[in-house]
Amino acid sequence: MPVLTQTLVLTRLAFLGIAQRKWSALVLIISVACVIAVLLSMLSVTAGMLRAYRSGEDPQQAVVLPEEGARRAHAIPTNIIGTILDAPGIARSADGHPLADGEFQIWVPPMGPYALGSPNLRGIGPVGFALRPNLKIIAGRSFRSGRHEVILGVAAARTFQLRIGDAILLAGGPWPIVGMFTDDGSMLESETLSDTDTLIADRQTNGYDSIVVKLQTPAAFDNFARWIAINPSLMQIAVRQSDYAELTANRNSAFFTALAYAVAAMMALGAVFGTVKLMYAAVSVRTRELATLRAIGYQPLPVALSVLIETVVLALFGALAGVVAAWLLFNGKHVVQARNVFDLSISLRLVALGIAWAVALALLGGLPPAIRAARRSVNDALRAV
Amino acid sequence: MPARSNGRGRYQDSLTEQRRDRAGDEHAGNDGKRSGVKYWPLVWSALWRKPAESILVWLAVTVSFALFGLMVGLHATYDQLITNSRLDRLYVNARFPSANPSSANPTGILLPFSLRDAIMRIDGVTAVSAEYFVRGYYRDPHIRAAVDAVDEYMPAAWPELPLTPAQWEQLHATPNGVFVTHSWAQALGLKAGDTLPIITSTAFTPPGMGSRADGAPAWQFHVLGEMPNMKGGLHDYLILGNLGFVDNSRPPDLRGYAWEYRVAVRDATQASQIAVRIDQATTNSGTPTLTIPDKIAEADGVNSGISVAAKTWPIAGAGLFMILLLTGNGIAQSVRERTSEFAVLKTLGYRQSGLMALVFAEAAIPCLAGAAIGMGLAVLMTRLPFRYLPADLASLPQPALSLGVLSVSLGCALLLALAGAAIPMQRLRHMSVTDTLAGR
Repeated sequence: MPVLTQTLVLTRLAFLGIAQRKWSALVLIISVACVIAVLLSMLSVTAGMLRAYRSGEDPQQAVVLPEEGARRAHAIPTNIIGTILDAPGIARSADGHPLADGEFQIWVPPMGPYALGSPNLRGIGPVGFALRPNLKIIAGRSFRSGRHEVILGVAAARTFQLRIGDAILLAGGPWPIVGMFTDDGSMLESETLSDTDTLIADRQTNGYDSIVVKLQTPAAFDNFARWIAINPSLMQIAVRQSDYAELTANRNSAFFTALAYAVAAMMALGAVFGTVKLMYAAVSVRTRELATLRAIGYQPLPVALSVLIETVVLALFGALAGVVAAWLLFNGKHVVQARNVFDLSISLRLVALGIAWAVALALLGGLPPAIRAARRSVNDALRAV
Repeated sequence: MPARSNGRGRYQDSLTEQRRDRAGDEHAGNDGKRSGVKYWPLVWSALWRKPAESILVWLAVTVSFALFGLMVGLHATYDQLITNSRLDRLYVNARFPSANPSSANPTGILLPFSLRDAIMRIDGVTAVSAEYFVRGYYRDPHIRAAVDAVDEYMPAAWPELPLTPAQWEQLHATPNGVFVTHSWAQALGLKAGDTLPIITSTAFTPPGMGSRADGAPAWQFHVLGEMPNMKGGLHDYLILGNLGFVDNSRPPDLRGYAWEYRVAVRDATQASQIAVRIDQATTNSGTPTLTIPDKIAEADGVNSGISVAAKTWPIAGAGLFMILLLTGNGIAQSVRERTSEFAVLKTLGYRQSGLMALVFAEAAIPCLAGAAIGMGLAVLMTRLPFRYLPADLASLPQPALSLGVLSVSLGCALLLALAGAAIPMQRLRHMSVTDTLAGR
């Protein structure tokens, strides 16, 4: 395998001589690091949001939603829950009750000055706590069914400056906050919770926004979803909890994600031009060395490959620096987006994405210099020095 | 590499020329006058010494400045949104928007026209105007458009609107007439006399809010003319219509309602108290209100989402930093490779400052050219019609590329060149002519 051996030798030579070109190499590394850091720092919003939505995810859970096109507030009539409970595959509690819970969401107008903002209010039913095993009351007590009471997520308390004893104001009057809860860092912590039926009665409406269902096994989902979809009396669809989380996170961050890619693409284009320039210079500095190697029998392909490998390796160092910078600056930082509170996250998926971008950038930027290095005539090259 | 040897040849030619010029100048005694002209061939040949690398650096600078321009422009837009929003303006909305209609509020969101008088009676309020939005799309569901139907009190409640008294009169005299801002007219290709159909659907507006008495989904408006864009880039895409016409076209049981009220107050310092007073006055009515000061609403809109505004400077900075290193590295390399040439120039009597200027010009020319062309690209990109943007970016406000932004970027380009050329210039200053010429 002469090509492989030659490539290895040439790559080794390239890195042995890199000390002479240390500044160019450093510029390449930092350029790539800038691109990757910007890309990851912006995408950390999407990743963080997704993590918060998926926290406490259970593969056995599914969410029933109104059909596409019928998505408006409270669109699932309360009287169809009986039909949905008949669906196959729903798990049952120890006392034989099906594990399904209708949920209801509304926006709460701000209590103080408008600028303070206000949390969402979610109604959950008696099974709601069983479906959310991470949900823990950390102060006060839980709300009671039939009473105008709410409990407050820790992130909502922090962001909207609310505490036990305060009240949120709905159309029918104040609903006192009687307790505070955590939910393992999920998006639920930025909301307030109350009893669904009490809330629906107060709002004089008769619809849920979604129904959360626990299935006997994760595999039972397909059958359950088909049953919901083909039942002529239902205008709903079922999605896996994980898909629902992804859908919601993507919808809420679509604008920012698109902007992140647009900005990073422009920066990457600049970095590609820079890389081509730097690698042209690197190849040109090594003209004599490469020409001599070609003269003693090294083939053009290994020469080109060694240039590409050098570029990719430098870009990988850049990606690493970018990932570390983005992680140090942004990972775990609290953000409030609309009424959602969550932590930014540089996930493993993002790290992989950053590395993929760096490699792609290096291949694009390294290719023209690699071709030039390989195609240069040995005679001309030796004469030029 | 033929390009390189040509470049060097040209460089040496120009050196010889310089020498000849210099000799002539000394006799003529007008050294200063022609020095700029004398240096130019030197700079030019230095730039084209390695054409491929120069062009690549210039391309990288151009792309980075296009990004810089867009980011700084975007930041300026967000800033303007907040500064231009006024402390003496309030918006009145339904406090408990709900999906369930009641007799007091048939869509759960609207406010009755009678509320106007109630708000007007509150002390400190100078004008109250009702507005209703017909939201939908024009021709293509991707081209969203909304007609802001206003009543005759709007000129008092929102005096910055760019309509002349005659145009206001025309608007209220023509039931289905609309005035379109310059930007919208350009984007949609509209002119006076055109018909502007807005097709509503529940995808754009809550159920019942866009409906007409005749059940048709399309609202036919008649373009009366163009109005200038408002100052500061706010409301560039505004279509002003006639509330009377819109209200009369709604189903009979849904007539007599406003989407929101716009309130002007006499004293900006009292705005927050007046907002509270308006809400208190409606607490026990069928439609309790939520009054929002304009400035807070704008600041909230800019900052409460994922703050794009806060991200623009770091991104612009990261782009420039990248370019700084690249140009700095390029100049350093170029000076290093031409040390002997600089030594020759020094020997010939070129002043230290002249050589510094030479190096600086070599850095500054691609930076300035890149900044100018990059900003031009950025301006072109902001002119890109909405339909070419990814759908997810449709809500991005248009970056404001004012002369201020342009001069900031040209200034940044000069600073960049200075910073990039600093180290090579320093090296040149300490260069020993004899050592260099001797090849030591």
